[in-house]
Amino acid sequence: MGTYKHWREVKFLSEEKKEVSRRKFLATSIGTLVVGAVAGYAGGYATAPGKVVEKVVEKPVEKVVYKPPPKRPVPKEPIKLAYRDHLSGALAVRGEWTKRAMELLVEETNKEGGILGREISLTFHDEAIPVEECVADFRRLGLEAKVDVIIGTTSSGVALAQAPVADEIKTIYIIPHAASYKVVMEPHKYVFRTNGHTGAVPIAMALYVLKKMPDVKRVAHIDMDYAWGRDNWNVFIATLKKYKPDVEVVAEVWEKVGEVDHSTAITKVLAAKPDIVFNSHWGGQLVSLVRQAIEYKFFEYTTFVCTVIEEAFPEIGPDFPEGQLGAPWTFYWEYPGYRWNLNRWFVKKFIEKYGVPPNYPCMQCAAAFFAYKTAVEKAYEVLGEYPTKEQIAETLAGLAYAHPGGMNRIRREDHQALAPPTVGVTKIDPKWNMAVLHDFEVISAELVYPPPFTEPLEWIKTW
Amino acid sequence: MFEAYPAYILNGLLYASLLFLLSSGLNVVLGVLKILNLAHGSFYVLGAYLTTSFVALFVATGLPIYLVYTQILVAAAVAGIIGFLFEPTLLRPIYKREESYQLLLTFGILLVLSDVTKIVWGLGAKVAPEPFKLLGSFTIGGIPFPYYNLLVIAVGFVVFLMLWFFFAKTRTGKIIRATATNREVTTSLGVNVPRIFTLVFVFGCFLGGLAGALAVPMQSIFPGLAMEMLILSFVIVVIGGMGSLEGAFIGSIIVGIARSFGIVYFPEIELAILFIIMIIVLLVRPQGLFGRRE
Repeated sequence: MGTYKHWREVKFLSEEKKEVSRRKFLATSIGTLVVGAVAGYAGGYATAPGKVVEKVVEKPVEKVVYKPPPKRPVPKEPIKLAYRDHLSGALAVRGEWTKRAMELLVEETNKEGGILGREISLTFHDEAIPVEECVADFRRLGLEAKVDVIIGTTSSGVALAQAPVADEIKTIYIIPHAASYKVVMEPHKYVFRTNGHTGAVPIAMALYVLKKMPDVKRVAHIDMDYAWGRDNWNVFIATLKKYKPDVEVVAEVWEKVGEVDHSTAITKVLAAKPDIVFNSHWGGQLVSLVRQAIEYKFFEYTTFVCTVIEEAFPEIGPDFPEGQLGAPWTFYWEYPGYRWNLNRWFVKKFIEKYGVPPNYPCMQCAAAFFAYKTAVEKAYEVLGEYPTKEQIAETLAGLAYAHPGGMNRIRREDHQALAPPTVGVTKIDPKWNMAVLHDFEVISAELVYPPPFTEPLEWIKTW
Repeated sequence: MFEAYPAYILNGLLYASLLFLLSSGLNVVLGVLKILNLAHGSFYVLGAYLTTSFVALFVATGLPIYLVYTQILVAAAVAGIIGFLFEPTLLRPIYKREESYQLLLTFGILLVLSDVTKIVWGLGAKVAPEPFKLLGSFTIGGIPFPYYNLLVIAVGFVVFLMLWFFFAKTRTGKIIRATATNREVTTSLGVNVPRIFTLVFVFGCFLGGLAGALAVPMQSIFPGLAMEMLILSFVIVVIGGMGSLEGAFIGSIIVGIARSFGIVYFPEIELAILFIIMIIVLLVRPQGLFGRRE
């Protein structure tokens, strides 16, 4: 278990036994080398080092059959789900998209009988208010409104402020959007994050660049001058340099958030003649950067590498340059080839209802929603009665589950989902009259997520 | 490295041109009406959003595509007309009140217009790329530069010259200056001061709209920019001197060029460059580059 504080009270019998036997095993084998068949059994019969004696005990084995506990009735009243995102202000366009996604998820799940027959009631809460008001509202949701689960938060600053409150009000808080790796640097009992973070996605991006352009040498970047842009760039370039120490940073541009004139940034970068230009702009700023870059013939001179490239697809439309590398942060609506049933279910319904494919914040909503749904169902199956908030939180820690964007496993230690990031190349799809990602790959989570509570840059150094 | 200098200078002039256009409207209104129009950023935003709609409509009509540039002027004119709705109705009654009333009122207009643009144009980014795309680009020092940006630089200079000529040489310009200097005396001379005020306010809104309309083809417009633009124009007015056109012009060029080379040599300076220049000017010449001491 390491330094991990083992707070779980409900322990399944089998696990307790395993724990005991592992300790016994370690105790008896100190100083000796135990190889082979004894592993996994209590008490090794090791004698001299290097010599293993195997003793087979003939004993009538009692057959143990798993019998699920009798199912108790599920409460009738609806599950209260509170969703928080930017519903007003400059980032309201995000809320506009994710609101659609949440409404669709809840509506369709309710049609199919809700979660274990319990209907879900969904409420929306604005995030475009000062942080302290967000926190006060968060507390109120738990203590007065008594919601079962709070999903949402785009700003990492708000997520960091709300996380301790979730433990205090003992209410499950699933973060689908906020992407700073710092959000999971402290252990919390009730806080979970289901998308990729700034310590992982830029690594995936760098690995993809190394694979697609193994000769990459001259690198430039344009990033926003705050934690998001800085983390993105630092982790990306550290990964790149780890594998190709001769990579050279030829131009750097730090833009302020909300900047719309990128002419000097583009000229500076082009003058340095880079092989690739890394970027992590989002929202309108990304749109205006790409728009201007097109007219500066930027894409004829260099390759664009962007961790949230999908955000500019609808606005730039068929003008979007092909052959640029990018990620939709973590999940892409077109999960490789529609192999995933849940993916088909969500994406088709989304397109039917809204006429456009869901963007990555919508996919992130789905990832968070299915984490909760799966945890409730699993806990009920094991316990035989409707789980308490605490039991759901315990199930979420370590849960592996499917969602429309792929497969997630939530880590026990820091509650970060090991969500494999998707990366791909842009291509114009006449069907949508805009760019889509094709030739995409889902990078294995083990390759890109730093161990729990580890600074990504420190982790990269240890490779 | 030096071969990119012409492009950096052009980029600096481009930014300067946009800053000048943006701030000149605020400046004229401030100089004549003595009102700090906090809603000014909204007229930039209105000009930009109107351009996205007008350009899209124009392209749909199938008229000769080179006439698409007229839509920029149409959008700016409509922004001016929207300004006309506010001056006689809301601003006129408060000229005689304390300044705080003007600030509250114009800030209120900014908030209302921000919500109106959200209702009309939605929350996502909007673009109007046709005027930008149409002209293509050329290479200078091995670096591509769009012709449209040259056009914007030219418009900035032309507008400055026209404004200067208007205020220095024409009869109406002189009357406006006289009104700015002393309201009572000009009224007693038989000048219809309220009409002059309306004219100037509409003109200020037109200039703000023009800045947005010219900028949007090469950039994009999205919610939240009204405040951003208000701050930018305010800084230029402070640097140049309250109500001084020449000051705003020279100030814009200094900021534009300094920003351009700042980004090249000190990549992290962009956040602060505008304010660093403002602080230096305030320390050395508190009244602004061309401002007069009260």
